[in-house]
Amino acid sequence: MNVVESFGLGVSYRGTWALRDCTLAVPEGHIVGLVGSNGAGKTTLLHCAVGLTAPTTGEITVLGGIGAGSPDSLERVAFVAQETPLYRHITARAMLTVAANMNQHFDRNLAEARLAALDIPLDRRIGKLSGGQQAQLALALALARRPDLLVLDEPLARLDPLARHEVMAVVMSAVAEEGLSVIFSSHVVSELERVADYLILMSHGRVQMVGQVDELLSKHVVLSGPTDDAESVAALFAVVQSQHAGRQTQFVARIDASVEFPKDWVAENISLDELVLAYLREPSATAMTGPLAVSANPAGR
Amino acid sequence: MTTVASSSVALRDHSRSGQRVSWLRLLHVALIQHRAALISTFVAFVTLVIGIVAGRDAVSASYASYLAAGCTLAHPTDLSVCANTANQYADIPSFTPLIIALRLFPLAIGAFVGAPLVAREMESGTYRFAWTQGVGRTRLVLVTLAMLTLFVTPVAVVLGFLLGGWYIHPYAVINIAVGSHWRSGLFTTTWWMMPVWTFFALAVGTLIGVFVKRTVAAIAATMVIVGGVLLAVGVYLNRIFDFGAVASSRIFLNGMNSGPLGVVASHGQGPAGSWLSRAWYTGPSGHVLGIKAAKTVGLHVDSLLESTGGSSDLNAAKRWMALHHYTYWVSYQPADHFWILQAIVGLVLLAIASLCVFGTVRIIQHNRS
Repeated sequence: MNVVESFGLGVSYRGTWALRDCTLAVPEGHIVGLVGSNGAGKTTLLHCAVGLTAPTTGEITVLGGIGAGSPDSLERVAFVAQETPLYRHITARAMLTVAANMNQHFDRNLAEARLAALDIPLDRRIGKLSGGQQAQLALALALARRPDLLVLDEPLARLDPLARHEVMAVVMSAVAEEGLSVIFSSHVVSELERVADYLILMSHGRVQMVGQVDELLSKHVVLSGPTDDAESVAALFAVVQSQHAGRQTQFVARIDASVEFPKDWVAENISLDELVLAYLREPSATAMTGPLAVSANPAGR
Repeated sequence: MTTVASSSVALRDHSRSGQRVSWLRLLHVALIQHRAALISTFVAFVTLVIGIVAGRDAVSASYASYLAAGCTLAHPTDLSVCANTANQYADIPSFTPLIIALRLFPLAIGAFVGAPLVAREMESGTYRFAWTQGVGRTRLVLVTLAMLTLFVTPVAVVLGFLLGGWYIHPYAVINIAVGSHWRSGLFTTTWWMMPVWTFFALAVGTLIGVFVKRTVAAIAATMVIVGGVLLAVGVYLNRIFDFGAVASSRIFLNGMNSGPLGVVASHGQGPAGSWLSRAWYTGPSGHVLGIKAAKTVGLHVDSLLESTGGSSDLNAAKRWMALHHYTYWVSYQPADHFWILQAIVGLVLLAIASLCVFGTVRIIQHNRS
């Protein structure tokens, strides 16, 4: 089952495309990192997945064909929005009551246990909690809904390194305990590398790269060699990005499994950070190694 | 194209689809979210009730002194003693501010309860939390609006009936200077009009908030729009009172002016408690006289009335008019039309308010961005 499937998805705001021709399928059971530069369309894609934004073109479904934003999907998809918007004038305890009464299946004990473990005072107004505590509260509320899919939009933004670590630890723990799927967007690629096993890279409103992290890393290398041979070597590989420094040239290239590297050229494994940066610097390059292809009728209708 | 790959994870409970959060639980949510608005409304309500009760006592005391002076409907108001007492009656300081406050009550509800309902969620971004919960945005907004309506409506009913029941009677009996429940300040605030205006303002404010998406701007826009409608109804109330008015040639007024009248019938000028809406003259052929001709006739009638040496002699005017085949017509709303007209205005406002609620829901349902 795919937890998110989109087909020709596009969103236009007053004539400007925030998301365009987005076709992808994300299998369940993964922690999916969604990365891209500012304005790449990450938040728009996530908002489409949780039903906050209606597509201008195409369609998007969740959890095996349920319409995004439908009553069924709202029951099973939990969302933590950017900057964790909560009602700042009420206490954390009242916020728990609000969330519990907004959802048919809300495990209040679970939420309270998580918050107690994190020493978050329930009787304090949310506006008085630190950014990290607010993020943890929002996450606890989302997880207490026992979702099948957890969608997090920039959950680590505004957080200090310790808070980032704690938030991601909670996410990882929930994944391990409950087997839910997670999609989270982030600018912090180093955090992604630690937790995400699936990657979606977006640029200028389009999906640029998608696939399992291990597979993406295994299919890309950093090639270094003499600039004199650069042109001929570049013809042998799908070069994503090239850098020339005097007599030395470096390529980030996509390779096949049986590839043989030219003499005098050195191939090194690429880090996720390098891979993401290489693609971000070359918006025209694409790599679709994962289950990009989706059925022509993704909703099953 | 085909779907590639899918890894398996522990099966989760998918049987929960179709179950919905109960209305009572959503009411609890709305109570928590809008506690400040509800408390403010209640404080305003208590303040207004105190104002009404205190004002009523002052009015009652003044009315008692009016009766004690022997001034009743049978006594003309130009008797100096009655006129003086009536003036005291009209000058009760608590009355005008109270009426203004009561007229502003629906406006305040629309601006400070209705307008922020959705606008605040949009502005603060909390809609991204609220609208992605299991309940769904439509039910959430509908229940919240229903809860607020259920709270403010009884409050407004109490205010309207307190004012209508306790204030109207002495004014209607005196029927002078300060007018009666037909006057715009009372027609639009008493009895059922108060809850109707309150619901209207709440619904319009909510819709404006959906459009504007900014709290302060939505409050300002609601004040302008709802305030404008309130003002327009007050200004054009006399035209509303033309609707279904009864025409009579048997009513004679001291001035016998033609055109809009907008006065309460008093001292035998028309049926008791009726509202004199408009007057005009017809000529020998039965046609309505134009402004210029009517003015000429009116001036001559006035001169006949004045020539009697201070005490109005309508008979002289009547004889002259009969001789020249002129007829003076007055249209009026009988006292029992008050309820019909209030019902008509109320139903129009309720229809508009219902459209606003429908529009709010449709926009929230379909404009997902």
